[in-house]
Amino acid sequence: MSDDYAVVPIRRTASAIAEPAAVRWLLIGAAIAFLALFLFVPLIAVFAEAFQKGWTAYVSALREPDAWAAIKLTLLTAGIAVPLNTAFGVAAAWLIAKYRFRGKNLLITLIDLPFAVSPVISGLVFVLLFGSQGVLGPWLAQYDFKIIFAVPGIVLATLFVTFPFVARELIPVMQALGSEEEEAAMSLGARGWQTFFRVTLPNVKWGLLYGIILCNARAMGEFGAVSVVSGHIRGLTNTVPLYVEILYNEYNFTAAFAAASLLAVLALVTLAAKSLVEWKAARNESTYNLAGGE
Amino acid sequence: MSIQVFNISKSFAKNAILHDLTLEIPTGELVALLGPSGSGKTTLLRLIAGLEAADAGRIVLDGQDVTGLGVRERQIGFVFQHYALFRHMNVYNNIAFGLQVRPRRQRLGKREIGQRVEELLSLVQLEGLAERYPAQLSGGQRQRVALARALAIQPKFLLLDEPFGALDAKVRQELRRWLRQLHHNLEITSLFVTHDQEEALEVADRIVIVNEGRIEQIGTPREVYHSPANSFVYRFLGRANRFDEPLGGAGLIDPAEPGVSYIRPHELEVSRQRIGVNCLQATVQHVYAVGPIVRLDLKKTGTDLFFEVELTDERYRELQVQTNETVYVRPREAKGFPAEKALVSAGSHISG
Amino acid sequence: MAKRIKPRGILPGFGLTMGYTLVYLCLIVFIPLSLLFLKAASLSPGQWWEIISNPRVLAAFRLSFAAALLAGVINTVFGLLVGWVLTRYSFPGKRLVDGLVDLPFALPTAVAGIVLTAVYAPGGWIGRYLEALGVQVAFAPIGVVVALTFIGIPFVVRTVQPVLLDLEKQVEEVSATLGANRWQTFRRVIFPQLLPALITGFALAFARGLGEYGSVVFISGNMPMSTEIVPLLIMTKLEQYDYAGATAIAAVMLIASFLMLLVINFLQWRSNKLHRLG
Repeated sequence: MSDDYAVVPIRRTASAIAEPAAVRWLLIGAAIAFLALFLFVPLIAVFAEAFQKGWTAYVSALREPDAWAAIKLTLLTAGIAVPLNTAFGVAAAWLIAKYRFRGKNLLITLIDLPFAVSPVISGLVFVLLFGSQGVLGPWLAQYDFKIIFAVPGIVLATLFVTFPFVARELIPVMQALGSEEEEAAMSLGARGWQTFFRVTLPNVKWGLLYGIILCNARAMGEFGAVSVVSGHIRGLTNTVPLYVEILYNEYNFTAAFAAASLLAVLALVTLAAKSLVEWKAARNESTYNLAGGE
Repeated sequence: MSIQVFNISKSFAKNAILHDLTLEIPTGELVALLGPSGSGKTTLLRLIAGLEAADAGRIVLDGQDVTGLGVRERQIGFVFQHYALFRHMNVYNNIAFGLQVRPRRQRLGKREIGQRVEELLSLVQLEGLAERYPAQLSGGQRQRVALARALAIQPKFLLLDEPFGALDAKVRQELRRWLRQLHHNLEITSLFVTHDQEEALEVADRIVIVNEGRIEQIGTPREVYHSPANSFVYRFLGRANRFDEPLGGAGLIDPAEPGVSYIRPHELEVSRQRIGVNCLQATVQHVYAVGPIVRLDLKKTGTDLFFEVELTDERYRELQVQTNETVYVRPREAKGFPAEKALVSAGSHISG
Repeated sequence: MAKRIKPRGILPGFGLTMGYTLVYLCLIVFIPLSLLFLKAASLSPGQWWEIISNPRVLAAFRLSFAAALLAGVINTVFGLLVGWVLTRYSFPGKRLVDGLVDLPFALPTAVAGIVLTAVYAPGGWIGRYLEALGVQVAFAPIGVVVALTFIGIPFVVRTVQPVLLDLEKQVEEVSATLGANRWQTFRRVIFPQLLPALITGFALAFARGLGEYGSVVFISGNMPMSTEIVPLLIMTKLEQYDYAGATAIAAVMLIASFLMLLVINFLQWRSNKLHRLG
């Protein structure tokens, strides 16, 4: 062909649907600045404040007997609430994903309800039920059984607040998977529980784990609802978040931030676990697709 | 309004997709870019449109070097395989989009835009569907909306990426005929990508056969089908039997020249008796006797060479062959190509 | 149409899971919540109106709604920006940033409350610069907005991100071939497709902000008529054993939240139903 058009390397023009570099960096800068003001600086500040008076002050703040009691109560509460809500989440997800029945959408909405309720109101409903002026209050007083301003109330409020987490993560995962594999297992002679443990559970394990992680984070960190029902009795009905509040209101900032830093570490571990689970789930899916796709 | 591509090269992540490719498409023609998947044909189309930038080379549209110009300045209409309709807009707004986004000085008034959209709707035979949303249309209707949308900006060139790829067989057949007719009326230089040789042979004025980032042959459907430049083109355009020895039986190929022979299934003659000296003896493996054409799977006697023959239903009834019977086969026509090793280099030159 | 073939399929456990789900749901959620409405219904309209029309209560409602609305708007704008930057561009530390967006979900609200106060208080890390500019954040209504903005960050980002990922590249390319510039493509092609997700994200952030307690009470200063939010008012009434007052206010809050939930569900249902190709 014509010699006028020799092979000439040309300047790489940007792709047809990309923004100019200047615009790109401006947007990135604005996004980072926003997140820095509202997320990054506060996150760093938690640890900076906690270690303001040095390592020894930090450690001694956490070795207070009240701090220990709060940590133990938080672990106990999560230890009860998470397994119960996990069992519920699995049952509800199985029900919703595997069967067709009337009122399913209503059921899903009801499961989501606690998310729409203010934490303070979540505590309030249990006060109305079990408090001294509550519906069951006089009856409980007769048997000298305390729920409000005691550990059972804290557990109940936590159960309510963390109610939807596992179900909510699991339902879409199970719905997407359908019932074919379970039906195949049943046709091969597996019994119900065998089918569940050997077919369903391995398929949904990452979604389940994710739900449990989120449920646990909220159970350990819940403040408003627990605050309403706890009565703030030191060493008895204080969870770690409530203990943080008390120290803070006593102007014992270093100790407050020391306890808060424990919760912040928990939050970071939660986020890391979440990323890991998401990464695992994505990898599983892609290998699954590779195997099934070709 | 020709499309010229000079010495274009393009790589993605170090994989070379196009190698120093040169091509010219004359004004007003409807041209097919035909090739297997991964041959680089879609990339070539996107380079011409300006959706990708080439690593090297020149693109000249209508005599103007547009290599450095963006997609918006090239005046091309582009139709995507999956239509890429704006799903939040109704048909009217989809088609009017290109008119509405023009700079204010060049923009038509509301009424003129409305008129133009009406004209286009009747051109693509979708009158009365202006208020529908893409989700409410059939595949064929969506394709025609995409085409009307591309035509709305009065492009100098129309580029279509697998325009019938996502449609079912019957609609596809209908749209092919319709596109031919439309092109005939509009006379706009058009280039479409396809991997379906039947589609290319049926619709295009001219076919560009692309393989591994290079052009194997350019020609009219008759030319490429009857005078393939190499064995790749031959094999790609239809069913082919390959014989490693030169088949000189019908005196078609010089037996002295080393190479391979290709014969289409319908170019083989079958009989129960020996015909001539050099005919092949074979056993019938299977008979597919449905429809006007009957296909026989044959195995050359004494070898593991399998090949196919097609004959008319009439001839099949005359012959009355059964599975495991022995028959004799003679080529009416064959194409000889240099042996495969030589072919690789033969494919690398650019023929025009 | 065969209607009555195996309506529930062959898998066992329908009775068990249905029974368990309903009993547990009733015990933990349904009965306690209905009780609140029963209690609220036992008030006469006159009593009810007296509680709600109290100037202090009205001021709290005004602040809660205004602050949640403002924080929701801030989060919609910046959530779209963050979601866009995280899906479209690459930059160093992107994965870390993406992971940290969920921090407000994971960080206990009490921790958020005390640290935001420390950072934004006069003399705090950011507060000292704002103080120099004459802006007081902590112990002022803006403090409530700051806390609710923090709480709401993940909602818009996480609803808009999957939609951005799902957008077909070809739709933007076709827009370019039709002569639209980048801004026109964004405004007329991309933005309308993001709008349902943005509204959903906004509604989620708004609903969450309305009920938020822990992160606000530290930074707001809790001055009646000025920086007192509704959940705090409920808390105060409870501490004074004014159960009727707490219940009346809570019922109004709950109805507002349920309406939000309905709107969110409706929006999601509609965006799923409409404009789905193929």
